[in-house]
Formats: sequence, structure tokens, C-alpha cells
Amino acid sequence: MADLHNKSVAQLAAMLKHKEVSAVEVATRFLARIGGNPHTAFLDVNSEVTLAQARASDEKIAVGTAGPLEGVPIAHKDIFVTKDFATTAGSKILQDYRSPFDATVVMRLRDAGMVTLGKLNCDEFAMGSANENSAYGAVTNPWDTTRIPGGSSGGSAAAVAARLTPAATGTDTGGSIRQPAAFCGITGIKPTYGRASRYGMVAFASSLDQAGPMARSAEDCALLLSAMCGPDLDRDSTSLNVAKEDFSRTLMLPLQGLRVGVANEFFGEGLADDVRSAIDTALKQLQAQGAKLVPIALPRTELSIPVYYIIAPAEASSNLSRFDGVKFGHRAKDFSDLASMYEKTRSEAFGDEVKRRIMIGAYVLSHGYYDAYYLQAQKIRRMIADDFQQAFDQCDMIAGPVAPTTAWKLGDKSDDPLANYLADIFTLPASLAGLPGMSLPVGFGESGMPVGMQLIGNYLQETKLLNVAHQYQLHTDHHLKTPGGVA
Amino acid sequence: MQRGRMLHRLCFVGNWLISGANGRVKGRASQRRDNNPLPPKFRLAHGGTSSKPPGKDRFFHMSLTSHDIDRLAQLSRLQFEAPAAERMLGQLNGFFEIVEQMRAVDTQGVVPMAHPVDAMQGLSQAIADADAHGMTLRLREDVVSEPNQREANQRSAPAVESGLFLVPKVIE
Repeated sequence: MADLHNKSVAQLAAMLKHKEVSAVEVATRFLARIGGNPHTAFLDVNSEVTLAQARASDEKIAVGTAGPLEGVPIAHKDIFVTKDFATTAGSKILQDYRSPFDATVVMRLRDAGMVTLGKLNCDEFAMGSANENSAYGAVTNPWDTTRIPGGSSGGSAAAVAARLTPAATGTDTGGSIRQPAAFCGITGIKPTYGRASRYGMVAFASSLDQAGPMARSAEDCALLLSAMCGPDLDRDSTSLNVAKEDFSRTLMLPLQGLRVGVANEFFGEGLADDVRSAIDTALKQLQAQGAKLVPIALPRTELSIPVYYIIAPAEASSNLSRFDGVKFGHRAKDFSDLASMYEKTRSEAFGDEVKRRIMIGAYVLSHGYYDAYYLQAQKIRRMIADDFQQAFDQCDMIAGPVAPTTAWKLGDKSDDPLANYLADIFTLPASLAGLPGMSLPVGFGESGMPVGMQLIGNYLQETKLLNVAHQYQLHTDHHLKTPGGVA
Repeated sequence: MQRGRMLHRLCFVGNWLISGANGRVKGRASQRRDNNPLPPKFRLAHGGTSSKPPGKDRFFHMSLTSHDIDRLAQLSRLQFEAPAAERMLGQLNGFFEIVEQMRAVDTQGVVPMAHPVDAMQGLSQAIADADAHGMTLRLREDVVSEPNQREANQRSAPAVESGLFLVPKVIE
């Protein structure tokens, strides 16, 4: 079966169920493709573990106890802790770290029958928009290997685009699922904050971090999301007490009468022409399928940049205090006392971006600055969330670009942290509000790089986003395109 | 709002040009600012950063100094060699310039939002139907829920002896 690696999650699940192919065959194919680590997408693989899981899946299929995604492979962003694979969070400070337990999301996907291919490269502690902040090497974009794949879930996006895995997990704190999905021409969704358990996700900014699936289509994302989400009340105090949902149930609803909000603030002069034109075409396509475009206002879009880059580093500086060289991870070799052990350990094992954010966080939380920066940011955060509620009075969902440009060249912004921050402008507002957001491919820009459209829904309205994306994908083929050079 | 106004100031021109960077923020926020003096504690917050006293130009960001970098590094348990500290100072000052637009926004009477779950409260009928407490942050019962896995938990520790984590001598 020559094109096994081009099959979707839905197709593979059906083929496995009907015994047209075995889980071992599928796993073997993907492991072979991962060999040599194209695009530096993977940080850990262990074919023995993977094949053992695949054999177990084949047995379950044989005796009729298969889960809904039995035998379908997936790979996890290295932010999720795993028993059977190392977990580094892209940082030297966790080099060779092995967790004694699996993250809830990893466990749930295993319970659904999925076979783990390995761990995926990402920006250190998920801090970055280009995947150039990984301590283990930058990931390259399968559409053009001189370009970044986006971040922080860059390994996840590149692996799906290069057909190294049919699906991957990602995490999204300020756009880390949506932006790399857009840059690599795949589909990804960040659910409502609290839908997916954060238990076993290496913490970056606890009030923003949220897990989600990345795959080629909305149909696949719906299957994966259904398996990932659900209450985890004893292990995550921010887990929503909302029953498990079948996110595929409304994929086939027609778009007739759907009100799609379009915010001027997402279409200003900073938006590259090629992105604008691809998004305009996609919006026209939605209209052609029966949707109505409604003008809305999100007046604090620009403010979301400073607000996010105050709140996220503040939470990060607190979360990352646990990396002190005592209980796990790296410890410096030479030190004179306890304080110098802490300082040397952290200084030699954290990368520049992580240090920058810890320093910013320490500053905005320190005495005399807390009110002016941190508290002020939290107040504007509420105003941003309120703006969305006003917008949702007039529309069922919001559509716009994921990022102002397509993927840039490796190194272009690596010396300029602020340039990276600014490029997050369109994904930050939904993150701050805790709203579900997704990215789907809607065409290509001037350099042949993929363009992603963002859909933002109200709280718990993931099915609406997936429905619209699926209906769009039934009428278009952008999500089926394969990068040149990926056979 | 005119198409393009918000993004206009975010154009990627050279090395970070943003017209808000000089501390004078145009538009709605600045009008509000003029009409509503900020609470005194906001002004006080500037006290320690600079030799410049807070005054009529208090909305300009007071640049951090190398002394601030030293203090923050100490708080963060980080060390920087001289060139890295210098670079960090420049980058942090660049960052706080874009933060200025945020500080000028009138937020009087706005309740800080620490958490999205807070914003969801009362918004979703689905939640109200499913569970009256669905959207509140909760505490679990204070009972032992995890088995003792000392060995597994210490497997990745840098230095362990007899089940204890080893650190440099703290008390002489």
C-alpha cells in the first residue's frame, strides 16, 4: 500500500477496523519515514515501544475490543510528559528527563487505541513563534526547508505536513497550535481553555496553556479532540466540568444562515497582501456556501500583544522556578553553595528566550510594578474578553488570518524577540479570553507558502468551528496538498 | 473604526518601529487618559526605576538600568556575563516600550481577569445545565490520591542518597 502515509486519521481508523491493514504495518511505515529525522521534527523515538503498542492494537482489533482510533499513530509535542519516551520540553534543563507518569491527554489518546510514534520538537517550554528556540535544533518547514515551521508546536506541524505522522498533539498558549498549523498548511484546533486536561503538560503560563490536536483535516481534528477532551477534575483544578463530547456530530450541517464575524482590526496595513487575498477568497467561499459576513469590532486587538507578553512571562517566571537542579533535570557541575548551584544550573541550561521571559515576569510581579503592569494587564484582559462577547452578539463565529505573513526565513527574526512577539497579534486575543480557535489551510502566498485562516468561536463552541472548517474542506482541496519533495 | 488603523502601527519596518513606542498613544485610549487621571498608586509605581522623578512625562517608560538587570537576575536566580546583561537590558527596554500603550488605557473599575474560567461564568447555558459548579475553580479533597512512587520520582534527580535529594551544605 504505497500511499499509506497519505491516509487521514479517519481513513486509517476505518482501514484498521476492517483489517485492510495491520497496526504494525502502519507503525512500521511511519517509523521508516521518521528515520533520519527529516526537518528535525522528532526529539525521541523508540521503535520497540511503538511496535509493542501496535501489536497490542492488532490483538484488540482481532478480539473485537478496539478503541475508536485503534492502531492509528500519533506523536506528541515534547511538552506532554510520557513514561516511555524522554520529555525535554525542548530544554537542556530537562535533557534525558523521564516522567514517572503519562500526561492525561497522552493517556486518553492511548485509551482510544492510538499508537505513539515519539516526541516532537518544539520551542523551549513552548516559548516561541518559529521553533528556533529549541535547545535541540530548529525545525524546518516541509514546504521550504529554508523557512521556519512556526512555533511553538513546530515539530508537530512539520511532522504532519511531511507525512511523518497522520496526527500530532500541540499546545497553544498564545497561538502555538494555530500559527504553525497555518505555516505548514495543516489543520489544528485549540479548544476552550479547560477542555483538555493540563495534567502532565509542562507548565508555561497556566491561565493560557491548552492542548489540542493537529492533523490534515477538520474531520481528523474532530476525532482526535473527542478522544482528548473531558473532565479531569481530580488532577487539574482548571479542568472544566463539562461532559465528554462527540465533536464530529455536526460536521455535516450546512452553512446556510451562518453569521461569520469579520473584524477590521484583523485586516489592517500590517497584513501581507498574499495573506489578505487568500483570506478574502476563503471568506467568499464561505459566502458561496451560504454563510453571511458580518462586520464586528475587536478594538483591543493590538493591546493583546503587551497584555499577553506581561501575563505569560509573569506566570512563566513563577512556573519555571521549579527548575533548580534539585529534584529533576540538569544540575551544574561546579558551584560553591546552594545559591550558586541554582544560578549556574539555570543560567547554563535555560535558553535566551526563556531567560528573557523569566526576567520580564520577575519585573512585572515585583514590588512597585505589580499594579502598573501585571494587574493592569489582567484588567485589559477582561476588556478583551468582553469585546468578544459583544462581537458574539452579532455573529456565530469570527474569521480572519492566523498570522500577518506566511512563514519567514530561518534566522530572519531570531535576533529580534520583539519581531516574533508582534507576529502573534491575531492569535493572542482568543488565547487571553480562553476561547476556542482553529486554523485551516486556505491557499498559498507569493512564495508558495501556505496561508491559514483562523476561526474563533464562543466558549465551548468547538463543534461550530469544526463544522465550518469541514464544510469548507469538502469544497476545497488546500488541506490535501502535499509539500513538494514529500513523496 | 477605519480599516487598517489598528494594524498600521504594527508594520514590520526595519528594527521595530511602532509609533506607540515614544509613549504617546494615539486614539481612544489616550483621550480617556487625558480625561481620567490615573490613580495615585499608578504613579507611585514609577518611583524606583530611574533617577528621573515622576512628573509630567510620567507616561514615558523609565528605562531599566544595569542595576535593574542585576536585581532581576538575582531574583530569578540567573547569572549574566557582561555582554549578555547588556543585551538583555536593551531587549527589555525595547519590550517595555511596546508595553507603554497598555499602561495608558483607562481601566478604572475593571475587575482583573486572572483566569478564563472566570470570564466563562454565567455565559454558558450548557454549563449551567450540566453542573452549577462547572465553571468554578475547585479544590479537591485533601486526601492521599497518589501511590508512593519515591523511586520512580527520584529516577531523574541529579543526586540522591537513601531516598533523599542531595544539595550542597546549607547550614554550617
